[in-house]
Amino acid sequence: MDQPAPAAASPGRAYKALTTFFDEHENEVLNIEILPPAFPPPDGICMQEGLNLGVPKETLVAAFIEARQIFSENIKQGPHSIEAYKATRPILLLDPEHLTAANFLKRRLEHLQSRSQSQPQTIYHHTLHTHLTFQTTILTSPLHRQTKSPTLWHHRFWLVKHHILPNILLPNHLPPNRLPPNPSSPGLDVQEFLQSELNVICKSGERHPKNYYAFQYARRLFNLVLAQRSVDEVEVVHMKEVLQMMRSWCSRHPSDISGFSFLAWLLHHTKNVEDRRRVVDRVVGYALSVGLANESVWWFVRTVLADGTVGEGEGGKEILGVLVGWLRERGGKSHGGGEERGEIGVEERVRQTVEWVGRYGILQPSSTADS
Amino acid sequence: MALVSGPGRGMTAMPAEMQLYVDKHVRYIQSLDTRKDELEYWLTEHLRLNGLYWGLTALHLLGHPDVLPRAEVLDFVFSCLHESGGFGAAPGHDAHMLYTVSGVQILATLDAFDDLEARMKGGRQKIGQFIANLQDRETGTFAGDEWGEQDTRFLYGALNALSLMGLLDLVDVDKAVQHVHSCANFDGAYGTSPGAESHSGQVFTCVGALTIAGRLDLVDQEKLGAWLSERQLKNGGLNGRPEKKEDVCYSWWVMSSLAMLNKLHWIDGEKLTSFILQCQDPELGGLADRPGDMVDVFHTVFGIAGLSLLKYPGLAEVDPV
Repeated sequence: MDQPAPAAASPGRAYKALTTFFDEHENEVLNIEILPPAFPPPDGICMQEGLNLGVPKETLVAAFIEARQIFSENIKQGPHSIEAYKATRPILLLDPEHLTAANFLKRRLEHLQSRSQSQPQTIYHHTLHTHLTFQTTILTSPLHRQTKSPTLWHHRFWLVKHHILPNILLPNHLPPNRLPPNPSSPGLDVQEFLQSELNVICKSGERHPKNYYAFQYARRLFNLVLAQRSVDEVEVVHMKEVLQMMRSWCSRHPSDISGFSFLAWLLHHTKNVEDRRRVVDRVVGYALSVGLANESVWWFVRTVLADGTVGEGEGGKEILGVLVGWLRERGGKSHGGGEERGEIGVEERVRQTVEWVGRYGILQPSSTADS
Repeated sequence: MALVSGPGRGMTAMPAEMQLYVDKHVRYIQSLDTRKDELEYWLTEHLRLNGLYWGLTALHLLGHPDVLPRAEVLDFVFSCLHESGGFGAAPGHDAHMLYTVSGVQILATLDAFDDLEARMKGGRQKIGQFIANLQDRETGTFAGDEWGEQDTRFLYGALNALSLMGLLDLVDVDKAVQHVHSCANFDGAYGTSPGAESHSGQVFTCVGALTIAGRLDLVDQEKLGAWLSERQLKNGGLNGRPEKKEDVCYSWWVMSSLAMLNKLHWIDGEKLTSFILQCQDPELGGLADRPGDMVDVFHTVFGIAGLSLLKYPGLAEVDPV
């Protein structure tokens, strides 16, 4: 049963194996996993199954060492160097904060753009698509550090702001996905792009819980798109649907302060006070019915009740009234073992929430309606 | 964020009286640059200059300021300096605010601005100008480099570095202050940009920036103090955001913020001290993010800085800003 482990990959072999795999699948989002030492790949380098890549850390490291060498030698050639470009992939995969590699990619795209003169189907558009796809791979694979990288998330924002969105909005544009271009409705393409980005953000948020920079990207992206308001008379952001999606995600991840922070932010950018109130109502209702004692849930509730998100008068007072009434009903009965273990139970959370809102609540509705 | 780490160790029962293993930590930091055969060394090349600043600062706090050879340290620092006046993380790496701030901080710590002038005529001014050019004159915030990422970390870094060099007049401090104020959230804390999620690290950068500018009057000190005091967990450690795990580096980000607000007593100092001491590797030196994990120089410096704020005996006094 016990066979000698296959020799670990040399830097050259590891680099070649990874590069070949990435090249073969450059139009597809991959799922890259780090194999634990108990499951070495039979060939000593990696395991490939469709779009899944299992790689022991040693292979990644070996490929990185080779990539780093190739990158520093070839970066002197300038942004047109394909060798340097290919080397950035293993570099960023293992070391996502490698700013210099990320900056090289920006320079390369600018260089290709300046040569393309807005013609469709050039190497510029091709690179844009494959590059975004590889970025998506890193940000959505089960890689704990990589999925939260501020460098990679800002790089994505830069890509979207300066290259992807402008290209979607051009006539005869090439959309960054495989669906056929729809030149008569760039607005719909923006909508679709936004939805797919939200999926990337949420998946990344699941790979790395409380993912600050994934949701920071979300805020930046929405700010960018909301500034457009409508493209071609298509309202590109269907806030109700986005709210519904995020509220549901937060309910499934009640300890995720980043998810709830983004949900609060979305509410601040939602024009209709009824839409806002409905979301808060549902969160409170769910939290009480399930007995959620997560700090993040109640941070959300106390903040939006106190800062005027649900408006003064009926909206805010009603929800607060629900909380007060719930407390009165419980009347100090103990539920579950949490309190005995010294954890804060749901009654205490609700009590603290009511108290916090009482202390810090503003009386005027916030001016979120006019954006 | 692992940076030239030591080996992991299991948790064994801790004695009631805990001490700070000063000599072990000093030796740990000294050994960092000698580990070039370890791959962690190359994986962390992208923040080498930061690492040098963290190690140097820790040594100063521990009362061993001269352990790293000054000439070698300066040689490395200058090898990271670009013609533009910005510093990169290591030779051959792009210039960025983060590394520029560390570069300036090291030069200030070593009192080496004359050495700078000898290497680069008008160096101080050039560095100041590199930083100043990164300010967005409309919003007052700062980018990290030409590619435009804006974050209050860079704003704080800019004000810190410029004030160390006596060049604050190169930037619009009032606009920067206004921007920081616009990053205040309803929960009392601050984020990376207006409306961004509250985070202890960003609280430090925002409160630090306001302190440098003399505008702490803009802070809702009671609300922020309350949010910061909610960071302490039952084990005495501090976290950065609700429901995050404790991490020794927050001993600095949270405590220095409280120190600037004169509210250090809003945290249980004894429990925190005990937590920080448990993060040490008593055999090989260094501190980890939490007890039992691998150590690194980032967590070493911020754990020790936290102890200094808590007035742990034998440590040099740290300035919360």
